[in-house]
Amino acid sequence: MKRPHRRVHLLVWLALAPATALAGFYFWTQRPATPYSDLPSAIETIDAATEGER
Amino acid sequence: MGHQYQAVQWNRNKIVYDLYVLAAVALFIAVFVIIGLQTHPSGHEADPVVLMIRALGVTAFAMLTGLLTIGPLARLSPRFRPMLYNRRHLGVMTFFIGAAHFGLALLWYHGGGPLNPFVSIFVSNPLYGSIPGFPFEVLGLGALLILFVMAATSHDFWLNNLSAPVWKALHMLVYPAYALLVLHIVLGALMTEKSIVYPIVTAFAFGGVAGLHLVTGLREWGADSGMKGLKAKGWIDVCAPDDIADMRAVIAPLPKGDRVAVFRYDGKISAVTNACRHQNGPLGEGRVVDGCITCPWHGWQYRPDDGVSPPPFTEKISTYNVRIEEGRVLIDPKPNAPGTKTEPAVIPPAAASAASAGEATS
Repeated sequence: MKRPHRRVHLLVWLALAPATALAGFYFWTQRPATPYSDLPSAIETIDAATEGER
Repeated sequence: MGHQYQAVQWNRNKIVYDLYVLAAVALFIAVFVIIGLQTHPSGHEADPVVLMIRALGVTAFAMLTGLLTIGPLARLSPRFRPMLYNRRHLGVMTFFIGAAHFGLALLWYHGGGPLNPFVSIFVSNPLYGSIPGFPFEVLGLGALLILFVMAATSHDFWLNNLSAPVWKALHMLVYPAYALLVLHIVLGALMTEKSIVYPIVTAFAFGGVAGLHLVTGLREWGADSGMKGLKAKGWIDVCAPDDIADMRAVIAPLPKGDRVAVFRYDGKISAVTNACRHQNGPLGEGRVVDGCITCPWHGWQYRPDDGVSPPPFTEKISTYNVRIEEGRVLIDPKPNAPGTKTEPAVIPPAAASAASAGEATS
């Protein structure tokens, strides 16, 4: 009996590895300069700095 | 072996293994949450529920990463083969940890609104065209659904009913699931983390898994290509009898992509398919134990001359005709029907004694 998945297994990884690595790296480079988790404190800082102007 | 049905295939070894894994998971999550609570940035409130969601997610990703290295590591070195024995139990546990991560996140982030939480996942964040704002939870849910299908069909019942090749093909979906998880992390956690450590760890995990699979895949490709020069007709020259260690096998690739395990035992040589009936395990990497070829993955056994499992089991594998001519082992590349009895080739006394002398001095 054959182990027919051998060749498919290699082809899957030949396609999946570079596609995931490239997409993952590209997405990561597009992350916001201020992470969402820092937005509350960033807004507070901006508010404090611009309080006199408003 | 598959002669009786049990809901969960536990034995003492697997119960002990499962308890160790559960203890390790509980310890890891506890340490993760405690460190998270202790080291949160000043001025921010560390939320225990959010920490628990992250702890479960990190645990599931780490378990799946480890799980996906077992197969290629076992192909690269026999030292890792024992890890194959409990691989499916580890996989099912990984699904449950991932499901806990999903369930908690669903309740925490989508459970309080007017929408059905399962609908909310897809529509509450409509930024499908944005990279930093992409609804990354959808990718995690896709991976979890694949892991669910795999966990639900992990039982030998499904392996027997679907057949090993179909089952294997279905379970190769774990690779796209892993890619979805990597992108789920990149578009989720890594968008909100400033530390460079997290992307490095994620890249190292994915790179390690992908690298191992590519290396072993290319090795297998090379082994299959080694017989391209042979003609499809006629007998195939495998090796000399002395080239096969006693109670062991040499694996011979055939021109059409099959592989044959040529075993030497009790002064005789027999050949069977290299694929175990159970999970297509490499029989030729096993050995003859108690007169039976024993698969190195889960211990399924077959008699060398007819490829039939010893009673009470009933599994059968293909056999190949063998003969020895001019000091060479030859096999007929045409497989016999599973369970067909063949006449083992008797090793001439000169070759047999030479092999014995070699073993005595080694």
